[in-house]
Amino acid sequence: MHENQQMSDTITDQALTAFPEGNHDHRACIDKALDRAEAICAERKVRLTPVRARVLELVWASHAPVGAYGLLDELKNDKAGAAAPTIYRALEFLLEQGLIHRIESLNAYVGCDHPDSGHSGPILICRACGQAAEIEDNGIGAVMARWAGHAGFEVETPVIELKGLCPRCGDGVSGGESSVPASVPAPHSGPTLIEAVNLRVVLSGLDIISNVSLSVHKGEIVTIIGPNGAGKTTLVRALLGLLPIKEGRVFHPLSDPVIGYVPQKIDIDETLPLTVKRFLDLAGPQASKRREKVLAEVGAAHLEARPLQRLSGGELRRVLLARALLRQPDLLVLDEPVQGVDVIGQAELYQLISRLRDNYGCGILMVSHDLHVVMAATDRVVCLNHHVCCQGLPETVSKHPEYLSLFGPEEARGMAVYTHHHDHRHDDGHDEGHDHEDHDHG
Amino acid sequence: MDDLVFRALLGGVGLAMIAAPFGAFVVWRRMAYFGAALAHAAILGIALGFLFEINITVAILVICGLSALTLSWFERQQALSSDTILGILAHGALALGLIVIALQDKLRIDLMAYLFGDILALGPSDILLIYGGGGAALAILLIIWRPLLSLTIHADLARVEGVKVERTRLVFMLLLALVVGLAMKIVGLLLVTSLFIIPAACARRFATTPEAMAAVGALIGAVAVALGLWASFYWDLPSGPAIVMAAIAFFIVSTPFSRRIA
Repeated sequence: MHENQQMSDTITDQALTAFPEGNHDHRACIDKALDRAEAICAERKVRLTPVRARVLELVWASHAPVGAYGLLDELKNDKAGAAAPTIYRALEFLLEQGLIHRIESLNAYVGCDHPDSGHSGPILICRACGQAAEIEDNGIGAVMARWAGHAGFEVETPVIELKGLCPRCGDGVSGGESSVPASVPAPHSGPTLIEAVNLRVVLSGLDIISNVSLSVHKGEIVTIIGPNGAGKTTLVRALLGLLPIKEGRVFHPLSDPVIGYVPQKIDIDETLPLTVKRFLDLAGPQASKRREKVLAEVGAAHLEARPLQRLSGGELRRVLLARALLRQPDLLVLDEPVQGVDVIGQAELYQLISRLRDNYGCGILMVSHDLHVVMAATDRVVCLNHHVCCQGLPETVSKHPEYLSLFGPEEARGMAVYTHHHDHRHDDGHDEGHDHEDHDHG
Repeated sequence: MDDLVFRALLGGVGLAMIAAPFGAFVVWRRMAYFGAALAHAAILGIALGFLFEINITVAILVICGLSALTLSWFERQQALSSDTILGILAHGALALGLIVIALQDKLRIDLMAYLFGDILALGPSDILLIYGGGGAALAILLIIWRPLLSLTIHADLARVEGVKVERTRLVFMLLLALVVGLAMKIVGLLLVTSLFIIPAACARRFATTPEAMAAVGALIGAVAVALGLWASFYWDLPSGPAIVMAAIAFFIVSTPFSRRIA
């Protein structure tokens, strides 16, 4: 908690809702929160109806923020059930009473530990495990109010959200099961683009994946890794709506996000005369206007007139990426984006993908079974073996016991977790004039 | 030129031009066996047409359409490979058709005409059907051209990009069934696939875009029909096989032009 020390000299345990210990009795937290809520409501002479109490209980189900969709889904399992408007009204009530806080950037809610103090303190959000804690120092609110008043500004939502790593994730020590909860909507650079809750997919009578929850936010790169046959492609296809889902749901909190998809394989008959140019124009009516720009961006401008069947593995990957980008996607889904590409080409492709995330601000979900290079270019890793074994920061996951047992300590130790460098010179200025020379850097 | 030959030429050329764009998709989608299966099933249509005394061409079209629907339904079940299902269905329908024909001892059907085609027997109503029905099929194909091309390249990619994959695929199969049913008259059920595939395969050697391949295929098909008819007149050859051989001659002659596109 050293980073808080400069902020205020009146830090006490009461002023900071500490990040919970991994093995604390969470039921006690919930009960305490419910008791407190009842007392406050009685005092303020407002009714804490059963629905309101139930919603509060669900928000308190963990110390991580809970999305409205997650709540709706949970409540569907209740016997009584509840309509969406009822739940939204309950959330509104709880917000008004200060019993919960809304975290704008996540479109999610978190329980408040000090609902009686009439505050709205800054919230610390861990980008790895998703847990949140609150700073309750009225001094901060007072400073904000003073400056807002000075500017003649009327504050409507005085919530400050601070993102970083909580003590446990920051240490990189990931102890037991609960340290990286499977269903937590973890790091977040922006609003949620896609959220899967408890997915189960059955193909030919076999459970391919079950109980898989994950989410991708705007601006983040999430990588699904796992051994061959772990259900990675199945998961991606289910998320894209290409496979029937047996249980669970896929949400698109943004209405109709544009999805760009780069499939694992593309098998075009030799008899189909199809140039790269024509292939890209099939992306949509607007595609031809932006084609040249996007091709240059992925370093494939010189391939425009080439037949699709005459591309090397790396060239094909770049062209497929261009096709996906032409749609100006909110979410890019890449299934094994470096398959059939040599090691140097792989590193280049991952750097290209990172750069695309920066340029387009989209969320990226990719699948990989190769451990070595993928960690470098990813914000969060989901380790899949029919279920989510663990998920979190690359550094954290690579030390997780489930991950180690899945890939074996030898393999995992050999894997270097290195981060990519933005200053790396690349093939951005790629045009027809020069071919491959500038690819050959180490 | 008498009416008979003129009608044969008109019908044959029209059909070849309609079949070629379909043939291109048959080649790209690797559906040659599907076309053959539809044609085999048509014999059941012929048998039932005689049995219930309805127009044979209509009966063929109905059976081809039903076969296409059944095949696409089976394909969605994914219990057997589609090749296997095609084999079972096609030969099942063929065998059943032959039995139904054999049981009708009152009438003797000239099976040869259906197996190898009888282009000289094209009547005015057939011409109308080819240009009306075939023309409509071609028009619909042009409407679904873009989504169909998209899903031919990659079905999942097309679906993610918003193409109605199932619907487009079904429409194409039904249209193909219609054109196969019509083409039976020209070259017969044993040779019908060739009218789709050979012109498209020749055209591949000259085309650099999908559309060019369909157009060149139409041209080659039309010339092959005309040449075949001419040969069948001068050397007294069976017309269906003569048309197929003309197309094959094109294929052989175009071999030196074989090159990779662009």
